[in-house]
Amino acid sequence: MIKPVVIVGAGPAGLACATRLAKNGLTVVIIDDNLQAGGQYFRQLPPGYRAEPDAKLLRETKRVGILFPVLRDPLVTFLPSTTVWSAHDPLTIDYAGPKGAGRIAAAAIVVATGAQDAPFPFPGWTLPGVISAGGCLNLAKGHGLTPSGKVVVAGNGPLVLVAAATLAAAGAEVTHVIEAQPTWRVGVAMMRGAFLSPSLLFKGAGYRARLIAHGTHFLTGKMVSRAIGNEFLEAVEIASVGPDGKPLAKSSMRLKTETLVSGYGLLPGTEFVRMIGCRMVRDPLIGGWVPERSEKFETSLANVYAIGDGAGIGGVEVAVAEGNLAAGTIIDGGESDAKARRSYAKLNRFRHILSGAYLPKSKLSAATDDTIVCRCEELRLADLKAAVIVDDKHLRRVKSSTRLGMGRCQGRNCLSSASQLLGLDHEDVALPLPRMRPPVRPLRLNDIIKNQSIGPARVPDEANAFK
Amino acid sequence: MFSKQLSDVVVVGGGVMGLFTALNLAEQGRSVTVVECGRIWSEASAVNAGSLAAQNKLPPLVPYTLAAFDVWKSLPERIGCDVDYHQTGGYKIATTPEEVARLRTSLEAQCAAGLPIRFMEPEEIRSETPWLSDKVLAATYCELDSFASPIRTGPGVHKALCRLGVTILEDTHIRSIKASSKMVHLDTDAGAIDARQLAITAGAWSGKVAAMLGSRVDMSLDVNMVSVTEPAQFTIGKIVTHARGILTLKQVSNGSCLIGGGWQGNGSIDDQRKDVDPDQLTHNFILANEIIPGLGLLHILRSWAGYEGVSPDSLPYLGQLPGFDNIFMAACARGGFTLGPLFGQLLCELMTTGKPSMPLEAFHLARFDNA
Amino acid sequence: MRNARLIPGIEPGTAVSFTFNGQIVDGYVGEGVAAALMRAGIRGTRTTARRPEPRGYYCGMGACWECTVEVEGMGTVRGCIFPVQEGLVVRSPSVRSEKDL
Repeated sequence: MIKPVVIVGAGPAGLACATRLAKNGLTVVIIDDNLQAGGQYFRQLPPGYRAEPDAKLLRETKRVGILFPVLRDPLVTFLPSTTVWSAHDPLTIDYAGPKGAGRIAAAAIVVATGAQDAPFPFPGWTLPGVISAGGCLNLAKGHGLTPSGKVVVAGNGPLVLVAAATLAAAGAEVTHVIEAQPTWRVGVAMMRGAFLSPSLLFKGAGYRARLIAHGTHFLTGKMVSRAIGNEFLEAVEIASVGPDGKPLAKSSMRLKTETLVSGYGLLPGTEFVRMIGCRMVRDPLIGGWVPERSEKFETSLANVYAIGDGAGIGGVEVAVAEGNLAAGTIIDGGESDAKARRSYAKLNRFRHILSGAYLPKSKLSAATDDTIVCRCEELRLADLKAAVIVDDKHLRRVKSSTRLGMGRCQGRNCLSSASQLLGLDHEDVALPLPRMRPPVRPLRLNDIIKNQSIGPARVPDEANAFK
Repeated sequence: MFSKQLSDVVVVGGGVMGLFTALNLAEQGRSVTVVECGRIWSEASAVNAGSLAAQNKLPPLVPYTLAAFDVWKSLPERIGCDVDYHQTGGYKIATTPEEVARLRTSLEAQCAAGLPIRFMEPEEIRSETPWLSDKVLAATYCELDSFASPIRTGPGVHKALCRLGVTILEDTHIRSIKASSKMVHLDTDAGAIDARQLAITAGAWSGKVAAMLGSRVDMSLDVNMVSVTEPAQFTIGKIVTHARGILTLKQVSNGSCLIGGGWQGNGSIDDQRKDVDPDQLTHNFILANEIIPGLGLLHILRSWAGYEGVSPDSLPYLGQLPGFDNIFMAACARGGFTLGPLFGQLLCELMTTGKPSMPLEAFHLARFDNA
Repeated sequence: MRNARLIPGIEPGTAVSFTFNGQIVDGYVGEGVAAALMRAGIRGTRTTARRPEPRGYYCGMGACWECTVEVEGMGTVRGCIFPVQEGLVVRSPSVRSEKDL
């Protein structure tokens, strides 16, 4: 029986990888949690929806026709609404979902799990009406919706402009865009990067022009300090970014709004690689802790590859290039990829330069002691600080004495920010995150037990009857 | 790093046995140093499912379990911390005629040992606990079955020990132990520790510590898996255990359900893997779903595995290390979370007055020597 | 947000209705339950256990679980992912307090 290449995640990186593998005759299984492929960048409208040719939805359709057809290739099995929840060994994965469960022994695993919004706590951030940059784009691309009423977009990073421009194109009332980095820093990076990737440069300028025409106020060197409201968001307080990365109280101003889009960075989705035991390294320019990779995108585990935003924030061009190159490595050790490697090297340099532009001198932080850091368990920063009996360089003890990270989000929305706020986010500290264990995403017990391929039960011995 | 530490007692191993031994000794005015190679309260003590079940104790352990419940009840006031202790009562269920017979036997023995238990016929089960499936043929009910929160207990005891001036040395590895009748001398990678007495409370690692003194205390390793669900809409008001011990279920204050039963993950004492075995975990879930079908709709949020030491007869080790007047051990209770707070007291009594308030012969460390 | 509306030029799926906490809500087949609730102007879709505080849609990609709702017969689902169908009975997730146990 042929062992397939298993690709975890059907976003741009995963689809690009699958496309090249299938073209070269390899059997592929591509698995994604979502109902449809596309990940974040190529998120599709629901089945049964249609977009008119002149629909005001800002999204790329061009490459959809190039990347999606692989899902219908006879060599490819696409498992949507399915989670790869554990690994029997690094190359034997277990999957489960409402449609079924099973185990696959793979010839190689390609982890293309994508990114998520980095949690950025500030007072009031849990109010209905505050959504992440990803949440804003998913609302548009995944549901064809835009918020009514006023919208303020605030954050740090290229996604701020994308979110704001998408809203403006859809006819939303984007009153303000609040960027943390001063304009000149981003501008310099753009100039440095111009020769590396002219098309990307053009895109950024296009977004800005669109918003200016829309009447949006641009404020730079400022950040959110507070979201205000009772049952839902009513206003946002913004302030200048202080030298310590925190809002300068005396400079604050209040903006009335019904929606705040908050986008203070992206985090690679590394839960799966951490669970199977890939070595992790710190790279602040591409999102913090990422899997260690060779030049050919292999992780520290043989035949396990990591590509795209899930291995380090880089955006869609990097993701597609890495997907293509990882496929090349699997096919022929990357022998035929010299040219593709050279253009990838340019892209890679540009993404590092761009990330560098958005890396503030002092890490941004707007959380006060009273701010909720763990949304699921409703833990404030003060609760976490009180749990630090001994100065640990690890979140394990805080987690086990407060329940940090034990809610449904499994720590996705709190462990990285808690790590920063408790001072565990610097070079001298080894990976401070608690161990990731199955299931990598919450799964219904009913779905897990559908797996027919599990080994025999080793029933616990009798003496257990007396515990 | 210190050059020399001198205490009345050095306690090796910072789990439930060690910390409660230290607590009792410190309350008696002894100076205590706890030495732990990792973090205190991080192994079996911290990751167990929190069961304080009475029904699942071997009959000899019943009186100790009852005494332990009293210690648990007084704990919040004693250490100034809520440990989420709930005496809900619990069902031990049977799904085969053989298991039903087993229930009847254990019922008799445990009743004789003083445990309030009653037998439940199928009709009673259907009416009283409709959330148990038809596969449950019979059950025994004990009103004393309880649970508490390891997550709350550990930090609470830790803080109490700090207030009592106990020295706690974490990330400290022992290189050698030398003992004379008057003194025990530990050479660690953070300095030397001298004490009049030594308590070995290192759980599954206790055998290794004893070996440093040339003593043999046999124990094997269990790698127990536990998993937890999201908060459930329904209420399961009592804990559930199994005639063969292969399933435990309890619902904690926030509504989450903890599923256990001793299904084994992977790892050894040396490799420290503590890996969840997805196959055995799935079998654990299949069984849980058979007994309580309502669990099926719940999302599993996380699973984990912990190391537990087990003696050859599954009864605890609690007593003096043979050949040494001033070295003691408390380990392998197989119900360490339940019995730990009591055993810490009994070990303290043994070490200070030589007269523990309950008999310890059944837990003698040398009881397997002639086997 | 006060409300959400369709982007001009987007043709939604079939119009259906479902209930949320007993209230009738209009939806389109295939859109996430959370999206339909947003269009209906329902902002806080659940209340937390301890404080209590209102929560709603946040990340839109199934990672944060803030949009969690209960669908009768199914258990909890993420509103941003779970597709609307005719006749769904949806509720805010029930919240336990320590007293319930």
